[in-house]
Amino acid sequence: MTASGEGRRGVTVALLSTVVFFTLLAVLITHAPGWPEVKRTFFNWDEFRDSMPEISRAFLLNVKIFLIAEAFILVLALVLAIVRSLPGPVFFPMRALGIAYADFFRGVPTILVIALLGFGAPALQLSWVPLSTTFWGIVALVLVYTAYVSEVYRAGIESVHSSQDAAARSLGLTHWQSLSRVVLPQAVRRVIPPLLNDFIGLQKDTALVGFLGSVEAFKQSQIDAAATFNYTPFVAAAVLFVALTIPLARFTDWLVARDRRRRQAAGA
Amino acid sequence: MSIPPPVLVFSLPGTTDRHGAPQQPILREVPSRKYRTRRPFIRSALREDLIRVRCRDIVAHNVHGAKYRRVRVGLVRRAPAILLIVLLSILAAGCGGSSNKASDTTGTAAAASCDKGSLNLVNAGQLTVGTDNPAFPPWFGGAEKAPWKVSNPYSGQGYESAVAYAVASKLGFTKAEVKWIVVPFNTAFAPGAKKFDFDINQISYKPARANAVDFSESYYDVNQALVVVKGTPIASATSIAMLKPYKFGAQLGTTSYDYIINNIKPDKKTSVFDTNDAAVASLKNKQIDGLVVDLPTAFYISAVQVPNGKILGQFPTVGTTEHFGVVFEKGNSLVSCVNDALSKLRADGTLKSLEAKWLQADAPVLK
Repeated sequence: MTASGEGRRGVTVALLSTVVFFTLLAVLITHAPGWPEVKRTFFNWDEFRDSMPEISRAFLLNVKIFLIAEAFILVLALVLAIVRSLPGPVFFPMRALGIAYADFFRGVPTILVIALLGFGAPALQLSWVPLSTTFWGIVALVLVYTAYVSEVYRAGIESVHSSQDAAARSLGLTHWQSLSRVVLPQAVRRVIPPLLNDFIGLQKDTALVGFLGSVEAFKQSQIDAAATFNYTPFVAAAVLFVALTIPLARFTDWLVARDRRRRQAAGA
Repeated sequence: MSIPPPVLVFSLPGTTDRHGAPQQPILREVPSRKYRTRRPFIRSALREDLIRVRCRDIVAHNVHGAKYRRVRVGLVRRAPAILLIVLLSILAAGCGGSSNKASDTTGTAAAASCDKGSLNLVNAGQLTVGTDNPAFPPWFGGAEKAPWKVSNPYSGQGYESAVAYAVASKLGFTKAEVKWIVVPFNTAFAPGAKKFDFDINQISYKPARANAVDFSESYYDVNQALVVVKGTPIASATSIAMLKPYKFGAQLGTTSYDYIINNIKPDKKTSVFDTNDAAVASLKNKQIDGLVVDLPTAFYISAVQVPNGKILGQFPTVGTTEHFGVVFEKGNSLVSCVNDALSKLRADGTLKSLEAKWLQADAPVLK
């Protein structure tokens, strides 16, 4: 009972400090000289309502791009991470290639990769090269995020203590068996939160595909904003992106908690 | 027949037993047909851990109990905080009422004197004019000069450059007193203070846009036109109805885009580009079949930017005539002065002669 008394006081203090902080913030913002103008151009309810249906429809393209890209990234990044962790001098060229790939695609801004592929590849005028801008946008995102996610996987693989691999090998498992049955299951479990982090980044970067001309949520909001010179559609697009991100974050929390619960439940 | 690989079970390295002594990683080989036997092992290991954790919790619980006796926090102790909240909310409500007045003063400014000295300028004694970079013909001309690409607004060549200098001279500025700055098309209408006195960048007037910025009167009445690549299927279309099955592109925020959506109503989704350059790249790649731009720009794109480019035709006006206006920060008193200058330039035939000089003649009208 004493603990709950302390908890209640904590809640009171937290509540109070929250109210004071946000009241001060609200007073500060609403009394800025430009507030009426900002309110009219960014938080205009009528604009919001009018632009939301079209932006929501365009947002489906973001979701599609995200889902397709994520499926490829998860697989390709794992392959890249495994290639980079291959032992022995024979595999040096593959390791070097993996490093070069990760360095290059993590170094080049995503928007440049998208522009180079989206406008460059179709310019080859080869009949079998797809012209679809969405296709090239997805390819660019997969290339860039594979580099990021492979690093996450690799960090996970390296976080598994080498005694695990040594023990497995000493029991006669091959390198591949030790990797797939001992190291990877532990590694992947550990990197789920950082993986999610990258996927939230990917979700947001789907907006960059709009650079090629595909009308996704951000591009649609730009169209609406440019038609009226009112920026409320941007806020509408932001709301959609956040609405997609938050459930994903909670889902991962749940996944991590379930994993922990299952491991503990085994001992109950 | 191959022997199934053994399944490994072990504790995490570095764990300790219940007396705190380090425990060696335990490895045990279990034949995979007895897969289940690993569960009791894990169970016993984890139960120990749980007991330890639970004991520590209980200890901690008691310690806290002794330290912080449960005390009723009365209203008296909370009084200062409650008072603070009440005061703040009164403050917020009181100030909230007065903030409405501020917005009233930002209405349209009264006509001010148009003497050069009394103009409302960003930089005193200097007319700061914005446009996008690259500055494309036929709106801008002259040899490319850094930071400007393709042409140079300072040259006074090209229709918009010429109009800007004509307006400047009507307002009493010399050519040297006109300064050009780069303002990307889509930021010309961002809310708040502007870095330019006015922006001249083929921006079409729309009533909704006039809520965010002020427009001058028309300096050019514009028609939209369609650019295609010679030899592609769309190049043989002769009417707007025949354009339906093709894919179109336009620059973001242009009336060209509106024209596609509202009047061509194509079957395929229209591509929208941040800049006309990206749209031109897409047309060259045949990612879009046709590009809709204003007629003077169409002449430049088809002649210079797209190999085998062709103006299929210009579109008939639907509704009111579209026109380009110079853009100002909302409420800028400069608007009426520039409007005076434009109407004088229109009356004395300057605009017409500049148009004849810089903008090309007609294209066939698509019905």
